[in-house]
Formats: sequence, C-alpha cells, structure tokens
Amino acid sequence: MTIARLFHQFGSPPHFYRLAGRMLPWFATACVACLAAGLYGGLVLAPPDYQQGESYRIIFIHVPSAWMSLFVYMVMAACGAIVLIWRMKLAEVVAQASAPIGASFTFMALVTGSLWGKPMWGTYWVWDARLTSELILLFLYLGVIGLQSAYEDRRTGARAAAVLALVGVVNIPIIHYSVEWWNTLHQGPTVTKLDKPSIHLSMLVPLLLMAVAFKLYYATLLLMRARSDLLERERNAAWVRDEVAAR
Amino acid sequence: MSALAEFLHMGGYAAFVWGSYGICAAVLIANLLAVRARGRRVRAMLARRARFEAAGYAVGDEPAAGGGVDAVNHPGTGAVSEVGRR
Amino acid sequence: MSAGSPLGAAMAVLQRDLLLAIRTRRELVNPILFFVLVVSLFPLGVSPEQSLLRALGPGVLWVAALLATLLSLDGLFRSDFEDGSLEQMLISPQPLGMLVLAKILAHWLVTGLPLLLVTPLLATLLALPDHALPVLLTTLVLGTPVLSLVGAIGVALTVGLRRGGALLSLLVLPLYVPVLIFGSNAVSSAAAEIPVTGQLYMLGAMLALALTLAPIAAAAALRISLH
Repeated sequence: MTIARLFHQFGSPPHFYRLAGRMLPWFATACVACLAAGLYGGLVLAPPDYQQGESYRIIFIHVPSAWMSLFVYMVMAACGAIVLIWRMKLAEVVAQASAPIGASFTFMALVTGSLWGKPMWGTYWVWDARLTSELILLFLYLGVIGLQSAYEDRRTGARAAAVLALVGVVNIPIIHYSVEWWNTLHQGPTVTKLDKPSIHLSMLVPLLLMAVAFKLYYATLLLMRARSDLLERERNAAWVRDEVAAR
Repeated sequence: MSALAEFLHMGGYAAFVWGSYGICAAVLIANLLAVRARGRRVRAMLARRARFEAAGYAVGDEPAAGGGVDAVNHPGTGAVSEVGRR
Repeated sequence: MSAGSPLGAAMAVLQRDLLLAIRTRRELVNPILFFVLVVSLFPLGVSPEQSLLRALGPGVLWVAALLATLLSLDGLFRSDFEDGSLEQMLISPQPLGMLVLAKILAHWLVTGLPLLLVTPLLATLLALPDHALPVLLTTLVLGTPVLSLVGAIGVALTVGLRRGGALLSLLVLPLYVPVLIFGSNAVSSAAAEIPVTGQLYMLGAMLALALTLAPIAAAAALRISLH
C-alpha cells in the first residue's frame, strides 16, 4: 500500500515537476564539483603509469563511460518494465530521455577505447571483447532510439521501445559472454585493459569521482528533460497553466 | 620545458589523451544543449498557447501524442500524417 | 482436437499459413535464391582459392543464412496486417502467444527449412570438408528457428510502420550476434576436427530460451504496435 502511494505521489506530475526543480541545482553543482575534483586528481595528481606512461589517463573517462553505458541501459530497461506493467508516464519520460544519453556514453567508451588502443596496440581498432560488446550495445541503443522516433504516437513509441529494451536486457549477457568466448578463441592482443591485480589509490579515487560525476550528469539531464516533457505532455492541465502564468 | 607545457604534452600522448577528453566534452555538452533547447521550445510553445488563450482563441485539446513540440515547428504535418496513418 | 482449444487454434493458423505459402510459391523460392546468390558472390568478390574459401566458408554461410532470414521476415505479419486478419487474432479469445508461435513455426517451415536443402550444394561451392556438413546442417536446424523467433519480435514492433524495413534490420541484427558466433564457430571447429558439442548445446539453449520468451514478447509487441 505504502509503495503504491509513494509511486503515485512520486509519479504525480506537478509534485515531480516541483521536486525536480528543487533538486536540479544541487545535482548540477555536485556534478561539476565531482568532475573538477576527478579531472584534477586524474590528470594532475595521479602519477604516470609505469608501463603505459601518460596515455593511461584516458581510463578516467573510458571506464566510467563504459560503466555508464550499461547502467543507463539497465535503467532504461527497468523503466521499460514499469511502462509496460504500470503504464507510468514518468517512467516513459525517463526511458525516452535515457536512450540518447546512454548511446552517447557508449559512443564515448568506443572512441576513447580506440584512442587508447592506438598507443597500446598500434592500431585504432582491434576486435577486442570489450570494444566489440560496446559496439553491439551501441547498435542496441540506436535500435531503441529509432523505434522511439518511428512512431508518430509518442506513447506507442515509448511502449514499443520498452519491449525492445527488455529483449535487449535478456540478450546483453548472452551477447557479452558469446563475444568474450569468441575473443578468447581468436586470441586477440593479449594486452588486457585494466585487468591489473590492484589499482593504486591515487588512480582509483579520481576514477570513482569521475564515475560519480557521470552519474550525476545523467541524473541532471534526466531531471531537465523530464521537467520539460512533463510540461509538454500535461499542457492542458491546470498546474501547467499556473506554472506558465507564474513566469 | 615549463610545467604547463609538460602537462599539455602528456608524455608524447597529447593527441590521444586530449583528443579523447575533447571528444567526450563535446558529446556531453552537445547532450546538455540539446536538452536545454528542448526545454526552451516547450516553454515557448506554452507561452504562445497562453497568449492565444488570453486573446480569446480556444486552445483545444490537440492530440497530446506525437504533436507537441515537433508539430508546433512543422504546422500541418502532424494533422496530415495523423490521418494518413490509419 | 477442437478448433476452440488454444492448441487447435494454433494448428489452424499453422495449416492456413502453410497452405497460403504453398499456393504462392514465390515466397518459398525467394530466400533460397537469395541464399545461393549471396554465397556465390563471395568467391567472386574475395578469391576462388580453396584454402581461403575453406577458412571463410562457415562464416559466409552463416551470414548469408542470417541475411536470407532477415529478408524473409517482413512477410511474417505483413499480409495478415494488410488484410486485417492480424487484428482478428488480437481480439480472438485464444492466447496470442500461441497463435504467434504457430505463425513463426509456419514461417520457419517455408523460409528457414528450405535453406537446408541447398546448404550441401553451397558447402561444396565453398570447399567445406564433407565431415563438417552434418554439423553445418545441425547448427542451421538449431539456429535458424532462433533467428525466426527473435526476428518475429522485431517484425511485430515494426509491422504498423510504413517504412519499417530499414529499422527492422537495425533492431534484429544485433540480437543475432550470439547465434552467428556459435553457429559459424561450430562449423569451422568441425572442419578442423575439433569437438563441437559445447557450441551445439549453446545453440540448443538459445533455441529453448527463444522458444519460451520470443512468442510472448512478439505478442506483447503486436498489441502495442497495432494499438
């Protein structure tokens, strides 16, 4: 019962709109602070790697991007499940806003991985298991985005994309392990990235800070997008008229 | 070499390190700008509707789906395709 | 078995679809032709050298089978959508998942299974060793139904769209990756006389998973896209 009430209250558009408006500056500030600290720690304080020299500093964006690419997909799929089961509008908004952001993080992970690979492997692209999985993940994201925008009716598009996201979630582990298995068979380059037994604290702290900063960035963008989408969807509701009049 | 130049040089990997940081910054900022532009469009649309209403026109219950920001930017297309769909 | 039971309804759908396919033979022939053409283009495009073909063969055969399936997918719900019988199925009291499964089975029987008939010929063209042929056929028997089942979800999501074709390949092809990996790897391992039971088990597991989940997902997708 209480969960249902919480859902209802959190999902109630005017309540969420105001709450999001209050939370937004905090999230944005925290994001910038973490980003600044992480960049300073990663680019300036952390010592160069004894094997890779300065080029390893790419991990401070590569690894958080790769984490985010999966995390955002999971959020999107969870929202997809909520959309299909409870038809909650807020979950539709979050799922729709997540797709381009997740695709961006996946793209970033791919580009930084390839730029990191050039000094390490001598070539921009190798069919490394992680890069290949990220590439397929990018295709999955593009499919979700394509489906969302293919329907003229936005809610139908959101529901169709939700089904696809859930199918993708069932597939992601299968794809991941099959790619990993395929990669070990074909014995790619033996430089395994970040499989070091332990990572030094001066590198770990900036890495985690950057990961938190990326999460906060995602949250900030979600709140911004959710606010404007709610205004648009509810444009005939009394509370939106009040909001517009109050400006 | 000064400390700053050395920092920018990144031990010879400047193009890779700064290249990836630059691309990531560009992508993140582009996302942010896209979301902000979307919010602006919605607010402009709502303000226009408020003006219309104040002027005495009836602001009907347009199809909430598929219309909105996109339909406002391309007047007419929304209605036509709505008919053509089914 | 009465037509009122879910199984009876599914059998009726299966019978009808098979009958329709046999009466319009074009659909039966198209995927086979496509399969043969794509495979025979490869030696022309790459090299007719036997050792190279032998190395590329399993992958080429599997990619071609995958594309042939993709090409035929569009017909899965298209005609039923256009003449309205799909909507009849949606409002019928029978479980939609069963009817969808019957349609997928019919589709596989007319487009997936015939590929097996020409596979021995194509294997010869690509210089595949004879002892790998049974494995190739087994992987296709296990793998192509997965392609049809997973593809059905994509078709169900795009059937209501006017230009769903290009989108369909974007939706479906990434999901085909595991089948492609295990299918072609099993064949090349068999050609190198390495045991392949592991890969075949994986394909079987994927088939079982797809068989249970895909009809449900496709039914849900149909309800949404025809809403």
